[in-house]
Amino acid sequence: MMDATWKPRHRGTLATEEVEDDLLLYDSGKDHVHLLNVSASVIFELCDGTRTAEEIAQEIVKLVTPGDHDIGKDVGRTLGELREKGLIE
Amino acid sequence: MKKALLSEVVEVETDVPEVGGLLETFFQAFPPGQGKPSLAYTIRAFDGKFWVLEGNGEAKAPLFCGGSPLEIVYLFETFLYYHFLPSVNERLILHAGVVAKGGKALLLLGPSGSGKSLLTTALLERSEDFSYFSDDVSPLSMSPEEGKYHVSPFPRAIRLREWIPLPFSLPSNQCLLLPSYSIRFFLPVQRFATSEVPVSLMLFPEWDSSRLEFLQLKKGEAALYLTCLAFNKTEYIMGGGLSLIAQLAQEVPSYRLLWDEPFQAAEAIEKLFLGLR
Repeated sequence: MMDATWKPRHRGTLATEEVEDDLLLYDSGKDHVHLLNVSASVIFELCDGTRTAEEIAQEIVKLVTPGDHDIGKDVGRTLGELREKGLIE
Repeated sequence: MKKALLSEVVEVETDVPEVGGLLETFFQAFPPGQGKPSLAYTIRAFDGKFWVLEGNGEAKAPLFCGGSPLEIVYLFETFLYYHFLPSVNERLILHAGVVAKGGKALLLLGPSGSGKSLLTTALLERSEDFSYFSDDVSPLSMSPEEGKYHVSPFPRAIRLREWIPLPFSLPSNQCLLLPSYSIRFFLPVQRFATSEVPVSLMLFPEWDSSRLEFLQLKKGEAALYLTCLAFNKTEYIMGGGLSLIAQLAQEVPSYRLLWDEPFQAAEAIEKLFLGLR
């Protein structure tokens, strides 16, 4: 269960570079490389330590066309994966 | 022996003539080093073994040993590259085999066992117009005038697994065999490149038992692979290298190459390479 007050932010050990629609990340702390697709990149970029997961989901809603998918659930899952990979804290 | 390897001047002293001869053979295409060495080693015979010692002064720390002159030179060469390449900052060093033709370079990139060395050798055997740049270690730099990546020759011996059958025969006077490691070294001495050329094609080979196929890579995927295959990691990448890798991935066509037979693969690679604009 995600803490509702958690405001995710990028870890300081990362270098990032946009490559077409994707985002290339190098984690100097772990010597790992990651590639985020466009959806995960947008969520990652919004993780600046000022927004909660719910607020990030609200930002995403403004960017996408309405559909039947649950944006809040998608954002929560992506944030969980980014935290698991050590890209946000 | 005193040689210039990228920005390092490497000096090796030995009192074993056979070791000295093998060092000259393995490093023959590298330019002579000038000035004070930045890396110095000594190779001595002692107690039935051959030892690599750090430094060339009075106090020498033993690093490792081998059972024959060829084994110790092979171990030394491997140690040397893995020792200093991670800290190179002025160039991107990729894990790639490289050949060139018509002023354009073709990079075969991948981890050990992907077929870089075999395909590099097959391309050299297939067409006499290909020049040999490197097996495994490929230094790239950005040309500010052209805004393109260039690869420099790094002509180390090609390493081929002895148990992999070759569909061609290599000249015996250019090969050395190290049976205890099942490695055949091939030095294509007539084909060594002497000047840098721009990178025109990047292939990421994977052996596949049933097909020969090129799969175009997304630019992001190519950038991911390139970052994984860089020898010089943290300092280079955090110091702006990631941006240059991204640029390389975006500018140069990249393919995954699934291959099953080296000569057929070399034929298809040459066709693709020559068809580039």
